[in-house]
Amino acid sequence: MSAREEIVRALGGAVAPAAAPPILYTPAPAHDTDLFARFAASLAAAGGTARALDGASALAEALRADPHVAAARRLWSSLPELAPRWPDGPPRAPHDFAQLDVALLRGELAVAESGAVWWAPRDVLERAAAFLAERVVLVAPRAGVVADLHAAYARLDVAALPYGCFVCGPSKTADIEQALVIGAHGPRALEVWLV
Amino acid sequence: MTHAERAAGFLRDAERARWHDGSLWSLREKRDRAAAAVPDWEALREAAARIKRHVLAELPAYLTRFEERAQARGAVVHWARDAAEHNEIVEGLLREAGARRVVKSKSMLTEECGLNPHLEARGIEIVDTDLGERIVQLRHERPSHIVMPAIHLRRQEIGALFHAELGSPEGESDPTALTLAARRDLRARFLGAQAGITGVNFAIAETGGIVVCTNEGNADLGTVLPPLHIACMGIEKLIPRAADLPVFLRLLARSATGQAQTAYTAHFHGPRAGGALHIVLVDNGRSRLRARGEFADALTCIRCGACMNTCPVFRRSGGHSYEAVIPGPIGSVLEPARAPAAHASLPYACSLCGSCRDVCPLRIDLPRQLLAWRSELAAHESGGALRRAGLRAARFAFERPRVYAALGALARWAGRVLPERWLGGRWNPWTRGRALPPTPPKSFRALYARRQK
Repeated sequence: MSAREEIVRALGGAVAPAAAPPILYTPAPAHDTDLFARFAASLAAAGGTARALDGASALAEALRADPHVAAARRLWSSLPELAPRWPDGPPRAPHDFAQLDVALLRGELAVAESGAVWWAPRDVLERAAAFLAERVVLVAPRAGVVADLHAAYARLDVAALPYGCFVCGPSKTADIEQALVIGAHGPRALEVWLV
Repeated sequence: MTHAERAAGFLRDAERARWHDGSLWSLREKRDRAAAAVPDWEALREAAARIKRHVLAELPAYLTRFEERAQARGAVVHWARDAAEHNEIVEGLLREAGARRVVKSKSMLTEECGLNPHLEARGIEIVDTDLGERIVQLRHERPSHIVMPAIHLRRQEIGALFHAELGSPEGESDPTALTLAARRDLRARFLGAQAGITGVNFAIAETGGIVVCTNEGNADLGTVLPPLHIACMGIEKLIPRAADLPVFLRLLARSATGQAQTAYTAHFHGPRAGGALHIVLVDNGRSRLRARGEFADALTCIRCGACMNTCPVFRRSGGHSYEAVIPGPIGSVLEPARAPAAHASLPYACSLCGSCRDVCPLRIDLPRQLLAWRSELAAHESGGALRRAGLRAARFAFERPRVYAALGALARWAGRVLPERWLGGRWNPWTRGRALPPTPPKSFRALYARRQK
């Protein structure tokens, strides 16, 4: 007997579920008047910073004025507003990002309760850029701020792409005497710009 | 050796024991603050328990559905009856891909299966990339805590380890500098890896996807650089729908570290372009535990570690005293199921205070299960000749009301007139670490008889 058959049999045999799953849990509606303020506070607690930008011109201005973007030698951009920078030729494999300064990514949706942003990269290069860059800026629509994860999953199709991630602050660890250190393996800084 | 004997060793360094206790208690306090900030916390716990119990009841149906959906997305699903089979499957996949350098993110399941020693013995280099796990891997010891694997170590010890192993400056003990040293070393290993292994926090039956939560981003880096991703999971990790995830995600990080959410909550649905995704479903005793009604609830555990942080015994004895893959209250329930004789003393590493049940996001009734294990394991762990003799004597007295009353009178007299050091001297194991209670002047029976008059 195969391992699969044996395990399934030990569990009582595969049949259609006898009972329907419990109805989806939905919390009482939150009385948030300012979702952005709540998101910004949650993200700050997770070690990131949030900015509200008013429209496309404000985004263009923010990109021009940002000192890290300006100083970046190698820069990944998923935004049409800014061209990527590859002084040594465009990357072809994830490994080419070993020295990436900044990654500008497009987030879809932001969660006020936790400070997380849903981000689903189009390809494996974008996916690698988000973790190998020293600094990540996630640009998401201001209208995409929801109260909590329940609202987020109600809106999202998390299975649409092979990979999607809630990003909640920069990479961090507290494995040495519980001292919080930002920048464990991935980005040392995370900004979320809500436009 | 029993847990109590190993704990005695841990407690010899009183200063370290105090530090360890405080360190874990601060996690408990962070958890309390995070839970209090969520208005529907209790409703979430209730919902989480209901979902997980439902999945356990319908497990074969959800497993086969998950398999079918995961395969439809291009993942390859493997089934392993036990640890040995799991290790062979993973080894086979690595060999097939010609992978000799492997990075792994946190997975208690691969600890349980002993994957690292299995692969190392066969010439495959496997590097734990979670910082805490990397530290204990370099020290050749097991994690002392499932969320904070190196919580038993002081920064100076980690500094000395990194100086020897990673060439960080001698005497360096600043956590930021040490983390950077590990980051530099591990970055090179990520870039050189030919395969990435991850654990699984949740598997979604409806979509065939898996979810992995980390703060470091190591599961994400380890699966985007090498083309081969192997995800190893126990069969109890399933949930029905993606929309059930928020219930667990809102509980998990808050219960574990007091964070609202981990830095990365990665959802994998099928392999990445040009890569392969293999999912290994492991039983290793879970179907047997599920068949035993009274302990089945332990399979709803989401491995947050909250029961360890709150447990007065864990805090004061350290994770290594349990000599188990999963220590603490939940480990003391799970481990005896795997190897009763080896872990028979674990259900006694508990004062039945109930704090673990109160913080458990799944409301697992751990004290009740630990109590149930004690009677079950009496054949393996009877506490030695002295306790057996004591219990026999107690039984003799309890069965004879007159003897009981006489002994009670004797004890009250002794408590009044004999010096404390006679009663609680070295000969009395009960008073090691405990004070004798004050002796009541009258017995309950005498008080009751007077009341009835």
